[in-house]
Parts: sequence; C-alpha cells; structure tokens
Amino acid sequence: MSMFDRSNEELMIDKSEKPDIRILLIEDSPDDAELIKFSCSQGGLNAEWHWVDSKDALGLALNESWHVIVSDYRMPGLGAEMAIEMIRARNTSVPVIVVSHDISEDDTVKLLDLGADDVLKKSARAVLPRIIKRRLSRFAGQAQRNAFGAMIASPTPSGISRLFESLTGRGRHGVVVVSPDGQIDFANENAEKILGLKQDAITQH
Amino acid sequence: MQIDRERNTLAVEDLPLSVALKKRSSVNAYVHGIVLPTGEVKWLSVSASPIHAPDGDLISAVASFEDVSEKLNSATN
Repeated sequence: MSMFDRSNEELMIDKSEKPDIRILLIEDSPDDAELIKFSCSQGGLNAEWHWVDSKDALGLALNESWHVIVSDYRMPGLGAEMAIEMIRARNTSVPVIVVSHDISEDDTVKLLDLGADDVLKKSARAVLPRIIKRRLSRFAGQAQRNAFGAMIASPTPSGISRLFESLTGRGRHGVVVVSPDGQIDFANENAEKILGLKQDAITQH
Repeated sequence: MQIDRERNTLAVEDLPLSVALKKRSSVNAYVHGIVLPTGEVKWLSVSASPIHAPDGDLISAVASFEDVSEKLNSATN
C-alpha cells in the first residue's frame, strides 16, 4: 500500500507530537492532500490536519476552530467559492488560502472578493508554508489590536488580564494585574518565577 | 521584607503597585529588593500604573518587573 492509498483519517492525523496549529484542508484528491501536507511539513509547520471533501463535512468542521483553512478550487459538489461563503457566513476571520491547479485572473479576483486571503497555484505549493506563517502572524497581530481596541473602548479587569496574558506570553518580564482591593486578577508565569513566591504573596509588590 | 537601594525597609504603601492603586500615579523603573528567607536579596526593577475606566473609576493596576540582581551585582562588584 502506498502512502496515497491510506484513508483520509490515516493520512491526515499525525500523532507523533503535539501540533502548533490546526489546519482544515478542503480537498478531494488524496494525492494533492498528501502533497500539501508534505510541503507544509517540509516548510517547518507542525500542524494537526483535518481533511474534508464534502459540503456536509465542511459544515461540521466549521463548528471547530482552525488557525488556517486551505481549500482546493474545483471539487465535485463543493468548490472554493461555496467553501468561502460557508466559512465567512460563520462570521469567522480565519485565514483562507485557495490552492488550485489552474485558475484564471478573473476567478482569482472573484475568490479574493469573496473573502479568500490568498490564491496560489498548486505548482507553487512549496511557498504555502511561508504564506501560512505570514497569515498567522498578521492574524495574531490583528487579534491583538482588536483586543486592545476593545479593552480601550470598554475596559474590564478580565479583559485587561486577557490582554496582558496575550501580550506577555513571552519575554523576561513578570506582569501582574491587581484589582483596586489588591486582589490579583492576572499574573504571568514569569511573575512567579522571578519572585519565587506563590500568587497570594505577589500583592506585596 | 522589601528594601530600597540603601537597604532601608520599605513600607508596603511605598511599593509601586500600592502607589499605583492608592495615589493613582505611575511608577517607572523603581528598583527595590526582596529579602528572601535565605537572606539573599533579589533586586527588581518595577514599573506600575493605574488603569482607569473612561468615567475615571480605578479598575486595575498593572505592574511589570524584571530581575536586575545580576546587573546590580556586576555594577557594584
């Protein structure tokens, strides 16, 4: 049995290590699905893949959250246009990248107008991981800006805590947010690490 | 126990987060020490600021700090 003869589930679930991102792949060709997955793996993406090839399966998959959605252009009973409409109807801003064997300039524009973030030919699939990384970076930046904007517009202790949590996931600084009565609303990992104290003692700082 | 750069004991109300909460003012890069149970002093550079709602109510205070013990020790040795 070749690697292309495996079932969808066997093909797309990599249980070797915890993935960094979840990618939904809309594709009717097992061979193309495997090639896209291989290209992304070679490009340094550690992803959990979920493969769908029908409208019903896509509808179910959209009940879950995805970091990126990659879609083929032409598929029996489900094309990229329908897929994008279903995705955007859920009011989700997840990046959608369409990958096609052959697509005209007019159709590319149409897909972008519908809400696709990128459209590229399958022959250029080697650049797909780079595009996904770029989209994720922009999406994360936008999400942070949205969170910051929402916090400024209507600040709440929990909103501020979530914002700081997202902003201080990395780095060397300890960060704590306390309520007016001195109770800790948020402390990042560095706070406890630097202070060597339990959270209930951090209010002394 | 908290100490200042001259190793005088600091009152809780003089610590950056307390200043941000009680005086509603910001503190920038204030260096103070924590005396650990072992007697070792860990030096922190702390910035703190109050956070207000649009109507002016105080809703939180935030402190950001880093361990500057190595920098201080290398500067004084």
